[in-house]
Amino acid sequence: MGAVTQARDIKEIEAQLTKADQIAIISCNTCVRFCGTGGVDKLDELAHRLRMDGFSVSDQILVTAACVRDYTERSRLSSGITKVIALTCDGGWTSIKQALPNVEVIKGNETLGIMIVSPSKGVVKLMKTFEAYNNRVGDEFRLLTGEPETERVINLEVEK
Amino acid sequence: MIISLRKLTYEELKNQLSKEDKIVVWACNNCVKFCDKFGGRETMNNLAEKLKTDGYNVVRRELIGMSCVLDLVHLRAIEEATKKTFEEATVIIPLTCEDGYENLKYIFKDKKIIDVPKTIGLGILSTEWHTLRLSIPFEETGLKPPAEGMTLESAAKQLGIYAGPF
Repeated sequence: MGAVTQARDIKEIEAQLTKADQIAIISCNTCVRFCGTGGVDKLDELAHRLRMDGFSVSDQILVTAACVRDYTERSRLSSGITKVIALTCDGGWTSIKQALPNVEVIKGNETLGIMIVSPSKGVVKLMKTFEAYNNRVGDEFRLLTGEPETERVINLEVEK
Repeated sequence: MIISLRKLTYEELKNQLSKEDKIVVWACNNCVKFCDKFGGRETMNNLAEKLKTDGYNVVRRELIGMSCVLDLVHLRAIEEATKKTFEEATVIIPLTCEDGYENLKYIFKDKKIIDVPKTIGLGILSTEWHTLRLSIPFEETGLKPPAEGMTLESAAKQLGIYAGPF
């Protein structure tokens, strides 16, 4: 499937923006949606929050998977965009940077590692992590919200 | 997308099989298909044919959307169309990422699941390249991709393993 992500603190994101910026947000409708960190609802939520905080969000773009560069290349930003927020995993963030080399691209999420998913159990499980998240291998999250599970749902042992 | 390479050569794969084995060649049709065709239908069929030609008993070719979706793997074990074949199978060769491999081990506990994939990070697909390139490697690999990403052939060479189909 793909990457497990968690949302960055809004204050960290806002610290990388200015009130003069024209902002676009690009999100995926696959992995990040399953993690509750992207998709159309989170795109709307972040845009609304930024506007409420006085920032100018011009574009909200939903792509199937930003890690497919053909999608990010065709995202047709409005003229004058100065910052793009990637509400994606780090793969999507990199793809957007490659496709839009003249615009600063800010991470909207942190990427923890890769997942398995069980729709019937409503859970995403973190299987293999980037170093900063090695202590979280095996963690489970509610599908679509990303809320941490308090009890083990998938009894699959993962080597820490 | 997830980037996966292959740990084994075809000869090394054969060394883990016997002529008595009932073999399932199992492949995802998503990320690994774009990993220099490590997975996908064509690769799955070619491997099955190669094994048959070499005298192995391939009882099924299983193409699945994504083996990282546990429920999809589980369905193969319980659905009428596949249940019997999987009960009788002794070996599964996964052309998947490590997540798929783990799900197969979890669902088919009594089978030998060959440890084929090495998942090395996240990458970007472009039709300009016709394949995935590695952009965000797991730190354990020690790989340092350039800004435009690293070809899987180059990543495999640096890691001493293999990219693409058997």
